[in-house]
Amino acid sequence: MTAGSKKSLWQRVRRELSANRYVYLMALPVVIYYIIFCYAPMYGAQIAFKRFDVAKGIMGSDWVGLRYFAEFINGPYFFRLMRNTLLISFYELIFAFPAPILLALLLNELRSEKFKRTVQTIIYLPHFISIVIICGMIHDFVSRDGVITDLLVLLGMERTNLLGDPAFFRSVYIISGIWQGVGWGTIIYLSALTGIDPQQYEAAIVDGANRFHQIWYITLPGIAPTITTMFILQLGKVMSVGFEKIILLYNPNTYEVADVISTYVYRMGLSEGTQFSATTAIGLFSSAINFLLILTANQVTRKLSHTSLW
Amino acid sequence: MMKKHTGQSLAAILLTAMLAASAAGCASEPSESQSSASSAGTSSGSSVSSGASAESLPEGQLTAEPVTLTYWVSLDNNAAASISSYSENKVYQKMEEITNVKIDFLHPTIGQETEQFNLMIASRDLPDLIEYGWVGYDGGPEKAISDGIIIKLNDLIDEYAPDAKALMESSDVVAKQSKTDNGSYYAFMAVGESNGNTQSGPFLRIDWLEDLGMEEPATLEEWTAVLERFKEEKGASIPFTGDANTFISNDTICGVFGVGSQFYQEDGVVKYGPLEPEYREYLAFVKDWYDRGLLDPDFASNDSNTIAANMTNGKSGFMIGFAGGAMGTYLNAMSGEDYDLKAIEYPKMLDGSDPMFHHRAWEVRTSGSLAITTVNEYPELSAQWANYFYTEEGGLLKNFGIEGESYILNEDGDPELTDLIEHNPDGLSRQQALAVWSRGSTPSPGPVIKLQDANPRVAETVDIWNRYSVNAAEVLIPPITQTPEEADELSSMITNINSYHEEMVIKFIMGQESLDNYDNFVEQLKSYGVERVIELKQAALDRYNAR
Repeated sequence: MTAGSKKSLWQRVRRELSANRYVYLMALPVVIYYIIFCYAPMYGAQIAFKRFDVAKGIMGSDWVGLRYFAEFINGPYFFRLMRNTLLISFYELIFAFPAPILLALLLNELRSEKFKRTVQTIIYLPHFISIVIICGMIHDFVSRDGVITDLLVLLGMERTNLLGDPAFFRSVYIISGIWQGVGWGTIIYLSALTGIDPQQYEAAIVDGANRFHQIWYITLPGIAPTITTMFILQLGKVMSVGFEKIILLYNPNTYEVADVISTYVYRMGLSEGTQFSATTAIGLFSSAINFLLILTANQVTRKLSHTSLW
Repeated sequence: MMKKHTGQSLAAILLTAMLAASAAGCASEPSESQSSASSAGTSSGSSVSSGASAESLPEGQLTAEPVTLTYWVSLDNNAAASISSYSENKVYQKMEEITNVKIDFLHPTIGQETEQFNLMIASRDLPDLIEYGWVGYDGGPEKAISDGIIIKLNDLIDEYAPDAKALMESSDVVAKQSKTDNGSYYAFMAVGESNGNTQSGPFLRIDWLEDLGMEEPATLEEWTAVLERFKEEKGASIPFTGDANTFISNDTICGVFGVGSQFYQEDGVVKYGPLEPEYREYLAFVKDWYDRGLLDPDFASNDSNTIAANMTNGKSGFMIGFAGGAMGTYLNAMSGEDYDLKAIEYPKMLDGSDPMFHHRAWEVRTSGSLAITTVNEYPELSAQWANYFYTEEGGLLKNFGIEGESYILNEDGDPELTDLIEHNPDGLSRQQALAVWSRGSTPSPGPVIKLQDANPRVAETVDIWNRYSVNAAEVLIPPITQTPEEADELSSMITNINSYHEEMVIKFIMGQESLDNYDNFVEQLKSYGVERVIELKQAALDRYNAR
């Protein structure tokens, strides 16, 4: 490589920077945020391969290789944690992921602007309530004499505390999650919907398409890239499901179905034990799987639909 | 050309800004801890000489120039009812007046104490003083010293804290519990001075019991009979309430079967309850309660609020809980109503002999021990400051607050709490008022003296529950400490074992797992290394006994 080509590269970068300087300036805070809060702490991840000793610090602790990964994978809870984590994520993908899409489609079909706006305001509300309060409400509603339990008893269910019963935990978790997130989730799809050219609908109506035809042949394909992107992003979170909410909702009786990797890490690392190294290893392990999932999903969708993150 | 130039300088600015920001990010934590240390440093240059020049200072004053120390301690729930920091606590205000030492308090979020303590240790962002249950430090207090978190106090105590030393060596038991296996003093301990070592136990709706013309139940069989009649004749839908811990870590009921709920000792030999056949009988007994609707079916998910609600709205009439925190609170809340609670003795053993297993505090209350950290620039001064709590005036101050305001000395010279505490004008309960005017609501460094509660029902629990509590010393495992190597080996085993034990006990009681599979449960516990844990605990117990 010659000095001349190097210089021209540097010049190109400078030209790019000066041409788009305001864009770069706007991106700066985000870049700084990521450097400080996401990249800088990464050096601490090395304790996954070390026996972290408070006295010796992160750099000084002794290397133990893959000991903690092996302990976790051979440990008693590995299977259960993986199963719970994957199942809850899977249910979220099946039930919670399509919910805002459906709702957005429904809202889009509303002809009364006033009604539409009222509905939107109401369904956005739960998003703004703290998760701690949401979980307090859930606890009350589904307790032995809570309103939701009362309702279900009217429908013939045996009276019980829904959160105390492993059989109901996942349903409570998913349904309450849909309730809280569905309104907020519609925003991105609604904005995608506004990007569809109205002439397409007019042309379709001329061709005799009814409402369902319009949704199926125009609306859905129109927002498909957004759906795909959201889906890939969602896949990247599969292993890091629901840390706060599960901690707020579970109890020893429901660990069997509710204990996921992140809650286990929290208990072993901070609340019941101080196994910093072991829990870092578990965290790293699940991040690696998340990363793999995102890669795979991106590859697959690029092949199938030509939409992808990169 | 001009335009290009602007671009260049802008890029340079961008780059510098980015570097500066990331550098600031990296440096933020150390600089914070430095600033706390340096603020203490600037406020006093002469503290090193404070010990030497004590004669020239007014009595009690420890330093001529004011010194500020940072102090990490969890804010007691009772205090949190009306103040947000112990800097508003009268004890420390008075202490500052006397000693010229100002304390800056750092409080972890209530309910997150352990997590925040662990994070503080891992980040090594230490204050000058830490009050914590140091026995629970991973690897024991000796490890905390070798980790460079806190300092060994032996020399300091000898020279600067004679009163603390005297109290911490006041008896063999206290001396044993105040030191590590190697004989290191690591903290200023809270030493119990009264006989109220058992502060929790069974209590029930005595008004119901009298209505039914029944005697106070003394055996588990009689407990069951009482629960049955509470359910049938008093409309208590769930006569016995409690939380998961009532059956997982409380020995009251399983002690009747002769086993501890978890680790315990028998003639100096460490045992683990669930490995003993009697433990299965215990589970079968509780399961029977559950099946017959005598036990709150939601016990596994109950918290203290649910239990309080059950006990006060007539759903339940029998539980195991704390005298002040549970029983006293319910009685206060229901005063004026047709409602009365009374403590009953711990149940007799199956063979009718006196109860052995008690929920009992140790002579040295391990929860409130004050250690001096390695970043503290004034260890001598800190020791002198802490020593004040062990003097006669200091003991009165920390337990009862300010004389003439929160307490008075009666004609016998004994302290008596005033109406400010007993019938607080702001509507605080006794414990809550004590937590503002003193540190007497929970164990804290210094002598721990409890005055008889004004409520006779709560006051009498001391006699009722402590009648046999001395027996517990034979079966409970004292506050032992593991070596760092042991602790490293233990940590992963013990969390798995506790987690599994907790889950399975609940499943056995609720019938989600059949007791026919009990042997599998035991096998599983063994596969998690419970026998090795017993060995390690045995080693620590032997060292403790040899102290």
